[in-house]
Amino acid sequence: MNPVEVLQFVGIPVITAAAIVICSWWLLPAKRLQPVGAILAVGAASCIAFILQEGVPSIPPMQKWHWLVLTVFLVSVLACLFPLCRKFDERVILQAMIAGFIAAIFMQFPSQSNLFVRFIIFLMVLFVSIGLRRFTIPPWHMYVVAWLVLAGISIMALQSSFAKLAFYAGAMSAVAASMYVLQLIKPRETKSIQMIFGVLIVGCSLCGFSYNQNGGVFALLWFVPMAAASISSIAYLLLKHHKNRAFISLAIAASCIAVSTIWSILVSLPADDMWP
Amino acid sequence: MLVLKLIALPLFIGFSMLTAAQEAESINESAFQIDSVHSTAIFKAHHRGAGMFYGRFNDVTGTIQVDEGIPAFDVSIDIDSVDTNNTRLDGHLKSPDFFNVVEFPVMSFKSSSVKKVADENYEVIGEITIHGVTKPLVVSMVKTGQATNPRGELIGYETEFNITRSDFGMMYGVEGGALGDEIKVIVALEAGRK
Repeated sequence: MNPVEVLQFVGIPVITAAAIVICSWWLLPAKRLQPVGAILAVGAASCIAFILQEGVPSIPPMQKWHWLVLTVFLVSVLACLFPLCRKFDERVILQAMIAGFIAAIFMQFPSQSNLFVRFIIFLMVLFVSIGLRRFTIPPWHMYVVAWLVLAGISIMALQSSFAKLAFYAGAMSAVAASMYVLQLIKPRETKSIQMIFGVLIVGCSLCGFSYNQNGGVFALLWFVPMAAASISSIAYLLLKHHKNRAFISLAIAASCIAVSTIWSILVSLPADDMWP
Repeated sequence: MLVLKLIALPLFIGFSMLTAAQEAESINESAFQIDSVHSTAIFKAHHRGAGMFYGRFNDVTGTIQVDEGIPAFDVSIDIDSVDTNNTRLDGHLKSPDFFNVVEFPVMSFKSSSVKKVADENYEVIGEITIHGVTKPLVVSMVKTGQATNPRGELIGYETEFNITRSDFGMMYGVEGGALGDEIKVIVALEAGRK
């Protein structure tokens, strides 16, 4: 891993996402259509982050982990449709259920094909998506949690010697960070985006878990970042009368991520000889 | 008479099947079994455009069927046995960045035709499967020797060939020049039969 690769694999998706969002400020001014800009941005960035490393995936894909980006793409396309339908655009739980259903069907990582595991995947996406964004949770909070969680998964993927997943999760983490900054500059409606980040977080975690065969990362640690997103939102909702509830809930998420990443770094072997 | 035919027919069919099974078994027995202890698959790649990086696979299995002096190869290599003398590197090679051992645990070569080109030298045409991708491959195989000892008959072959790993969907580090696309492979086989 060198700075040029980091700029290429992380920088290009971030620039693409930011450009799409900035364009949408003028092209999609209507409040109901505002989320479409960010949805397109995250969906396109996900595709670019993947294609830069692996090329265009075939259908069915050559490797099972490619289902991750195909699922994110499918959920992004669906998420674009929700803001256009007045009946569905505010139904967070229904959207999360649909995202969970798609993830349970399409994310076919190794040793995760039986019905029970698929039901668990459905529940994970459901909880993480709902946890990221209820209408009481502000959009910037969702972006910061997604930024932290995906950054944590990226570090863990690197510790488990899965550099492509590390770059992908790292790129999507940077995209979430750029969305957060753009949201601060120009606050926009963000309905349905939680579906994509929910699938991204669960997908990256399960992908890392299923390919972690050499025990680079303690298996249970892969579930901590996923839990961080939900715990953070629960804390946010429980502390509704607290002045600093946003910071406390983010601190909880950050602590979970810190524990999992530091643990994964400490237990793995020294990386001095790692190549490339 | 009819009763006799009814009894004789199943007996005849049963006997024919038994004979065919015995023949198949004897053909299988005549195949040399690759000795994974004394067989080696070594690879080398250019690292960052500087040094040559070597690794090996410790588990090479399969059969060599020798028919009228012409060998036929069916070789499998267990990806999990990759050994670079560094646990982290082994882990990285097994990850989806390279071989993806979880989904593609074995790479294999099966010859389809073998031509003797010189004394103890053969042109072997076959198909190699790596990372779930099958490609035709032509290699020059040298017979390194044949011996008989109290435990049976031994035979040895060796080949060197190059593969382009991006042809097999292993793109990691190719573009940035971190690890060369061309991989030199040396496979030395020792096989035995009783």
